[in-house]
Amino acid sequence: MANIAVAQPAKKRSPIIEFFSNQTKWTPYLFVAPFFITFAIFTLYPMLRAVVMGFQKSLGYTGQWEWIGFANYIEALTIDSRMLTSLQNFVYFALGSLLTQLPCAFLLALLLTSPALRAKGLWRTLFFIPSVLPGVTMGVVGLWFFSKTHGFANALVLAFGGERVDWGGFTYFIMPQLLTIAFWQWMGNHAVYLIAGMSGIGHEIIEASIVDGATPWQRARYIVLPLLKPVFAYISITAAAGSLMNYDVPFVMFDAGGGPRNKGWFFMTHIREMAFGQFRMGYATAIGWLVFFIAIVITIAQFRLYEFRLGQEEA
Amino acid sequence: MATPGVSRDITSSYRLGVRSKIGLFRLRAILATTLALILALIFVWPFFCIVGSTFNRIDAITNPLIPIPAEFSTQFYQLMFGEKYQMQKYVLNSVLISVTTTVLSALAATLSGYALAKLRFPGRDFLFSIIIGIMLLPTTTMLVPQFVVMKELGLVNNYWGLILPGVGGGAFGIFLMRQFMLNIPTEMLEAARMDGANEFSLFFRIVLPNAAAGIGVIATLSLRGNWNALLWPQILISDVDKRLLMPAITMLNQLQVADAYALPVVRTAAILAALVPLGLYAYSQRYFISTLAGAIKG
Repeated sequence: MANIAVAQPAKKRSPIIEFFSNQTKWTPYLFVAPFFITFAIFTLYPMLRAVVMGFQKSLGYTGQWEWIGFANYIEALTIDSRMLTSLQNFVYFALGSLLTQLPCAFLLALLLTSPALRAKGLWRTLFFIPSVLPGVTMGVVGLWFFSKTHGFANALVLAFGGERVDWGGFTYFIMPQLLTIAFWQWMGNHAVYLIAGMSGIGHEIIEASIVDGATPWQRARYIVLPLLKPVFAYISITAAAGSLMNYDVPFVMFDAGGGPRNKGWFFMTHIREMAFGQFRMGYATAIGWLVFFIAIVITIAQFRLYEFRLGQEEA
Repeated sequence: MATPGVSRDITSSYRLGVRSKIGLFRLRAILATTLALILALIFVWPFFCIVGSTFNRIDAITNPLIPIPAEFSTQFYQLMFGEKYQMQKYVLNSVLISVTTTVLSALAATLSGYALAKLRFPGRDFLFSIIIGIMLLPTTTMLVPQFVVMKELGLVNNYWGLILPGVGGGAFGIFLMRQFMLNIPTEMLEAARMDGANEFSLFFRIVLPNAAAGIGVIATLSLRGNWNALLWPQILISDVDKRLLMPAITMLNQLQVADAYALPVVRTAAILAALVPLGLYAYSQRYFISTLAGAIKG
């Protein structure tokens, strides 16, 4: 603390000069400044503008706005049928993702932590990889996989003596397609998080259960599973938020139109269409706020449900 | 059996329990490996097949279940980088944006993470809780007002509009970096201060070299995020020549009805585009999983 010793003799200087003459005092603020400045300009300020924009109607891209009160919100909540569609699709997709992916991820995590298995890192990497690929790539893979004429799924159906299925043409096939791709992309990712959580479980607990004669299954069910609660919390919070912002894969697979009867239509698709397809910036902003609050409510609810806190382990 | 207090990993203590039954253990090993192998094959087989399909000729009669192309050809790759589709232009644009944003944001996140973990200053805990709060905010929903502000700033159709919002490091990057910095011994920093190092040389000479693994992780995340991004570059950039790779692929995808070559070229481009995050992840995976998991444990 050599700097403090230098600064001390000058007792009557103003606090501002005092502050800037001591490097250890002002550098921390300088170091965190880039984040807070860019956040203020590119996120906070737009959000403040959005409060106003939600009550306005944009006249094209002219930069002129007309005050219309709650009309945007009323339309979004009562008239706009695609809002309800988006909500239904989100709920279907989010629950479907969690119910298919989490149990499989847990079983996969158990398999990949099995002491009998060798080269564990390799297996983890293999199952984790799809989650780092671009959403566009996953969408293109989905498009190819479920293609009517030269897709993998139909080739499989034909190989087993079935008939070609028009996957993209039927409403009830749309969500299962998206869930398949999502399963592919995220299941291994969840498994890897669970494995990391498992390695954090105290060895004494596991050893005690072995001494007490617990079978591997009992150990998995009654010891490992409950202790993984924070990891499940993290996964389901991020997965729910991810489902709410689902955009890339459905956009690529269903060509911005959302597929037959909008079964692939999500909130972000709707916001984009309203703002940049129909140039209704005010209305799209209002929808943005509704989705914003849905996301916050879901996050808070899950934090409560799992009694989860972020970054709590250190002081 | 293991004595209490002696730290053993789960594997060794488990093995002790079944040591008398080595035959059973072998059987388990074979079973577990076979099961993992079958699952992995189901998982990656379609990927092999789609990669194989990019090496076909357009008129080849193919079987999608077999990854080996019926008639090997690099036709789609040549087309992709040829006169008509010019994907190399979009690849370069994407590289430029991703690398610039990543370098700036990794530096900012490291600076912030270091300050929040290792420096004492009034308001530090408050600023950190704000960052946690921001991390949980669904800011993606604000893309319309963000676009309007960008338009007023003259940053629409301008690469700065893609770069600047990311250069602060991002709340998640800062959060990860702070968790990482907590492991750097404070005594080391104090010793350097005693030796008369100022705060900047301290950061660049001591902190930065010791944070290489953490920087690798957040740089990977940032590069991947920027490279994979679709929605924001899609709405912000409308100039054909300035377009990034992901929006360019989706644009071509929408032409598939009018152009028989569009779909296979899209497929080829999408597979090639995946190589970037794949390579990145393969390079940094050792730090990746442990750092990410360390941040959520607790």
